[in-house]
Amino acid sequence: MDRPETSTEAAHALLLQDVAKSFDGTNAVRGIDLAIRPGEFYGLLGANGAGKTTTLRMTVGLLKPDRGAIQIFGIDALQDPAAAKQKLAWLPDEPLLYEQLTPLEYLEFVAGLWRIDAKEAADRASTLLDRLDLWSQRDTRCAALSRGMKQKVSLAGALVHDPRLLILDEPLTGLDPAIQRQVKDLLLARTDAGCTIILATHILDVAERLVNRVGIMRDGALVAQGTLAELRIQTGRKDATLEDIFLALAISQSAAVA
Amino acid sequence: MNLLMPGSIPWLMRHELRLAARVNKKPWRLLIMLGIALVVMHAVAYPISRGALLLQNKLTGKFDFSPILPLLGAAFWFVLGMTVMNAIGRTLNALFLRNDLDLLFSSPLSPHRVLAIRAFAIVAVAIVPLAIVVLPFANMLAILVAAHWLSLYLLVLTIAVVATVIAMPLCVALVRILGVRRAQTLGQVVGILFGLTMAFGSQLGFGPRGAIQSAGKQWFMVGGGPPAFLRWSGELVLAPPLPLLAVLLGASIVLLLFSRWFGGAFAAIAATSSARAARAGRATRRGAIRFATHNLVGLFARKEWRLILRNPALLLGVVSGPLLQMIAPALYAFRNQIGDGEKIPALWVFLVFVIAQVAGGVAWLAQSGEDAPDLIRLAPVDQSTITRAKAIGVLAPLLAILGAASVWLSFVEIDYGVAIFVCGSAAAISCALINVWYIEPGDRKKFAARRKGHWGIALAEFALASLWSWAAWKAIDQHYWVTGVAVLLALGLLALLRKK
Repeated sequence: MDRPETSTEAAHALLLQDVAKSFDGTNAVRGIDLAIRPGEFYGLLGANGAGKTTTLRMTVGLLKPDRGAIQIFGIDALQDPAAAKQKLAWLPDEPLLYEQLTPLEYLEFVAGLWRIDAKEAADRASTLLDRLDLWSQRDTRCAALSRGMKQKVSLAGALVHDPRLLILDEPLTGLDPAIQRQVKDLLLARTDAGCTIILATHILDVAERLVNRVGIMRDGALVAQGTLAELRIQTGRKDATLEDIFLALAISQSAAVA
Repeated sequence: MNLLMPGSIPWLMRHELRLAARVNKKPWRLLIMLGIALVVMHAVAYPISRGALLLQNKLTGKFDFSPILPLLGAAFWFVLGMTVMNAIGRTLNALFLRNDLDLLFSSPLSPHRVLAIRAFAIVAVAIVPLAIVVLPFANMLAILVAAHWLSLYLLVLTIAVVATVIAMPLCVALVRILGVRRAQTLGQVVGILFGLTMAFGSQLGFGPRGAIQSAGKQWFMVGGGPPAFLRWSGELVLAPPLPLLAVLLGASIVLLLFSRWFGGAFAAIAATSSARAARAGRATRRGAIRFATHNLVGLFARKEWRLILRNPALLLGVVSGPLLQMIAPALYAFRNQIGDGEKIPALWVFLVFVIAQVAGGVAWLAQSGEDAPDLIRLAPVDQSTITRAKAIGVLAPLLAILGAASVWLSFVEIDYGVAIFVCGSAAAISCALINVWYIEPGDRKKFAARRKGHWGIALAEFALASLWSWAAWKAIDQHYWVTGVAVLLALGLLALLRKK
């Protein structure tokens, strides 16, 4: 797959250095450091309110951090957000859709926002609609689609500009197993093609099977990261599943006691 | 025996009425408002009734209602029309838009019973505005003349039932043909047109000049007097209780039969109607698709206008607000012929006002009512560029319409065309700018309530639209120094409001 290359291939797809954010005096993210390599499938795990979504929203430029640095493929995302955004896509749990547009019109609009050549965008849209079983719904307004289909349209929108870094926040929530499978297959195909993916999820089974490396957040801090084998060593539990490790690391002591 | 036993008719009726009352967030406030309205209407009804009776006595020396029968007839048709419009809105909401039907139809209750109760709940709600307007007059006339005027109570009930009998099958047919959303919009459009027709129709007897007034008078007085159906309708208003009771009974039976006949099929229509709102997908194989090439302005113009035009209720909301605001001044102009009535209708000046308000509305939708703000913020484009592209994208088609209208007007008098185009464009740009400077994220589905809590912005938009309309009017009248004052005031206001 052809994709625009930066002049010098960056060592990190994403580099966060001491990134912090607070809301009304409450620290949502406490000086997080994170380095993700190009082509990696990274899972970000944590209980509700751990700071995952805030971290990801700062990464994609939807929130401004109080301090720290964010680099996307070597581009300073705070200094040159437009150049950084050109390389990434964001898929939240609630689809970013227009109810009165059809999937085809939506993809045309998103491709236009990313200034993709119309012919190239049409080819990509056609492939994505076909791959995600949306071709027969391409002229149906999004308002009439099921939640799963809306999420697939949103995913197609995230992929139509061929991002090098794809960031997903709970993309499988509320989807039936068949659609989950389609989405997972598509994500794996993207990483095979060299795309970097960061996936925030509560579905530990999915994380265990899809991702290369996991980061676990608690109370706004990254408390552990590594492959499953590395995490087992860190926690000293040889046969632990990801769920065991998650429960040991992601749930704060007070919550565990409660 | 417990009347409110779960599943019983009174229990279901209480459920329906409670839902109807809770349309308002604070039902007790609604009750207080209704009480105040009733007191005020009684206070208004007393002098009007008394004055009319005194006039009658002076003119004829006896109570003779024959001279005012056409007036009563016209009032009857007006009230019936308004009640039908009200009932259509209520029916669409109760039968197709409320999300509780799956629950009710999955219960052991018979669909016929659910539908019948819902129909009578529509009657009960439709009766309220009617009762507030008519019953105070019934009470006053009963006190001042005779008790038989209390039969107006029966008339009110009959009108509400007849209106529901008309509205229910009409709504079902409309929903089957058009789908819920379009049927709802059509109902609103017809309601507005009906209201406007009545408002202008009520002015037929006024204004000494103008072709419309003359034509109206000629039609109204055809054959040396008002049309017979108005006189006949007036007699219906004064009819004794027995015939009214017969009509009421007949209409109620029709309503029950309709519920009985339609109950089974109703669930299926209600379930499928929302899906019909959108076009069904076509099961075709993958083929070639083409995307158009656009710059940012074109991209946003297409997106914004698609979203507006595909939501008829929203489009209606954008257009109806300014039109309703124009009723009073338009009536004033209609009766007094502002400006040079021979050459330029004063209504042209209102185009400036309407286009400004519509521009403000669509600019709000594009800027504050953005459905996917995160998607826009994710785009690798400077946000101020996007804001500008959106503003130009929504304004351009409006200015094109204004331009076409101005060109047409220029054939009448070139100065008029120029004045309307210049002031209209300035007004539209001014109102759009306010919405660019003051972006308050909001839900486009709640377009009508967009200024709740932001009255200053609403006032500024109104003031700018009015000032530019005034400037256009005075330019047409060739009072250029007044035009200058209006333009300076508008520009001054814009400078005051400007936000970087």
